[in-house]
Amino acid sequence: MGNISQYLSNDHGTCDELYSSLENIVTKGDWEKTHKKAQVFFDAMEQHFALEEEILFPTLEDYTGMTMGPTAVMRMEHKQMRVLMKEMQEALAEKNKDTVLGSGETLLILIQQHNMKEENILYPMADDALSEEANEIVQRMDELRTKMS
Amino acid sequence: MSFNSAGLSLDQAPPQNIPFRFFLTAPIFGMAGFILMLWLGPSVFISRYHPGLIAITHMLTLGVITMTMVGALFQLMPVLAGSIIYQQKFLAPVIHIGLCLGTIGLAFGFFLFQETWLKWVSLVFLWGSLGTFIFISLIALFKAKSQHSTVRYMRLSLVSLAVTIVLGTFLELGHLNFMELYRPALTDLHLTWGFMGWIFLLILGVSLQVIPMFQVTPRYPDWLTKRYAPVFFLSLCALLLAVFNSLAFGREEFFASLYSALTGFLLLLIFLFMVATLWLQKKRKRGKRDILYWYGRLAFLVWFLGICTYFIDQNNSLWVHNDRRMIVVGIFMFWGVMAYINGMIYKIVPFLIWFNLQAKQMDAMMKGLETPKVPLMHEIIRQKYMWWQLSLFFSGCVLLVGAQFFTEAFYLGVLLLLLSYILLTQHIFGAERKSAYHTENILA
Ligand code: HEM
Repeated sequence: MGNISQYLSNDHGTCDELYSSLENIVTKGDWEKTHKKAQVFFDAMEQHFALEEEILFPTLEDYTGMTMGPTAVMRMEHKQMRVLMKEMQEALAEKNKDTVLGSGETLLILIQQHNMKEENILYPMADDALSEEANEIVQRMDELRTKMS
Repeated sequence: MSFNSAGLSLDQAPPQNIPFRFFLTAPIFGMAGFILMLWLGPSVFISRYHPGLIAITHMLTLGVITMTMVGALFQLMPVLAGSIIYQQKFLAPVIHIGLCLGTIGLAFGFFLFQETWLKWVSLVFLWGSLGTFIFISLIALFKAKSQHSTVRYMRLSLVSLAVTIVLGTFLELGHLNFMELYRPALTDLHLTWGFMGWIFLLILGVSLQVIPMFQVTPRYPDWLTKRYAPVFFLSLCALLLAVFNSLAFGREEFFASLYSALTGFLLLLIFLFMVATLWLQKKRKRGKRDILYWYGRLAFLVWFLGICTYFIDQNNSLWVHNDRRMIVVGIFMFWGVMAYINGMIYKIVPFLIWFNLQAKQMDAMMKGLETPKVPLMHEIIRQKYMWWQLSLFFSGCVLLVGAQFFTEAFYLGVLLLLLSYILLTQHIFGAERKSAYHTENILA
C-alpha cells in the first residue's frame, strides 16, 4: 500500500470506530453522552472530507485535467453523506432513537461502499499517479488536520 | 497511468434495473420450487435421484441462488473492481431471460415431460445465458485495475460455475442416453463444484470485503485472503482428476479413498473460514446486530451441522437407506446458502433503492426544485417483517430435516418455507413499488 492509501484508509477506520461507539451509546439510550460522541464523529467525517476535497481531489484533477471524472462522483457521494448526517443530527436533537439508528444504518452502508471504491480504486490510482509528491501531500494533509482540530 | 484507462469507472453504475430484474425473479423461483415440493409430496425424498427432487434442486440452485448471485455480481463488479461490464444494458436482460427459460426447461424436463427436445432446448438456454455471463464477467475481472483478493475469488468462482455446467451437461447427456450416466461419481462431482466452487468461493470472497466493513471488525488474516483460494481451488481440481482417473483407469478403491480425503480436506477449509469469521466477529466494534448478522450466524450453524452429518458413517443405523445421509447433508447446505443469500438481499435491495432515489433527489435539488424526503433503508423494508421471514424460514428448515425421520413433518415444513418465500417476494416487490412511487414524486 502506498503512502496516500495508507494515510486515508486509516482515517476510514477511525471514522468507522467512532460511528460504532456512537451507535452503541444511542442503542443504550444514554442521551447525555450521545451528543458529545456525535459531535466527535461528525467532526471526524468533515475533517476526512476536507482532506480529500481540498487536497487530494484537486491535486488529482490537476494531474489528469479531468474535473468531471471519478473525483466528481466521490464529491457527489460526500454530499449524499452530508444529507444523511444532517438528518441524523435533527433526529438526535429530537431524541428520536429509531430515526437516529435508521439514518445511521443507511449512512454506514453508504460510507462503506464509498470507502470500497476509494480504497480499491481511487487511492491506488493516486498512489501511482502522484508517487513523487506523495510525502508532500501527506504532510499537507497533516497540517490541514491540525488546523481543523 | 491515466484515469480513463480501459474498463475503469467510479460511476454510480449500474442502473438499478439490472440487478433488480434478478432479485425480483429469485424469490418467485423459490415459491415455485416449494409449491412443486408440496405437490409431489414426501415421496420426493425417497431417493436422491428422484426426478422431482432434481427438478426442485435446480429451481433452487439455478432459479434462486444462481439468479441472485448473478444479479449481485452485476452490482458488485463495478464497485469492487471498478470494471465496466461489456454491453450490460443489453446483455443483462438477455442473460436473465435465458436463465429463467433454461431453469424452467431443465426442471420441467425432469419431472413432467420426459421429452428429449425440452432437455436439449434447456441446455442451449443455460449455456447461452450463463456462458455469456461467465465470459463477460471474466473479461471485466481480468481487465480490472484493482486485483485485490475479492477479485481473485470472483474469478475462481466463475470458473467453477463453468466446470459445474460442463459436468451438469455430461449428466444431462447421460439422461439423454448419449453417454453413460456415471452415478454417483459425476453427480457428486457436479454438486461439489457447484456448492464449494461457485457458491462458497463467491460468498467467501464477498465476505472478505463486506464483513469487516459492515460489522466494523479487524481485517481477515492474510492466509485467508492470499493462500486459501488457490489451495481450495487446486483441491477441487484434484477431486475432478481423481474422479476422471477412476472412470478411465479403474483402481476404484484407491481413487475412492483419495476422493474422501480431498472432500474431508475441503470441508475442513470451509470450517476454518467459519472459525476465522467468528473470531473476527468476537472482536467487532459494532454492538448492533442486524438481520444480516443473524442470517450469517444461522448459515454457519447449519453448515457446521451439515459437515458433522457428512462425517457420520454411512452404515450408521440412523440412515435407513444410504441416500438419507446425503439428503440431510444437502438440506443443511441449502439451508445455509439460502439463509446467507436472503440476508444479503435484505441489505442490498433497500440500500440500492435508497441510493438511487437520493441520487435523483440531489439531481432535482441542483436544478433548484423542491423535493420530498426520500425514505431511509429501514422504512423501505421494515426490520420487523424481516424477522418474520427469518423465523418462518428457520422453522420450515427444521421441520424438513425432521421430515426425513418423521414424514408427518413434511407438509407443515414445506408450507412454512413456501410462506417465507411468499413473504420475501412481497417484501422485494413492495420495495420496488415504493421505489417507483417515490421516483415519480421526485420527478413530478
Ligand atoms: C447448466 C446448469 C446445470 C445442469 C445442466 C445441471 C444438470 C444436472 C443433472 C442432469 C443432474 C442429475 C444428476 C443425476 O441424475 O445423477 C443434476 C443434479 C444436481 N445438480 Fe445440477 N445442473 C446444473 C447446474 C447446477 C448448479 C449451478 C448447481 C449448484 C450447486 C447444481 C446442483 C445440483 C445438485 C445439488 C444435484 C442433485 C444431486 C443429487 O440428487 O444427489 N446444478 N444437475
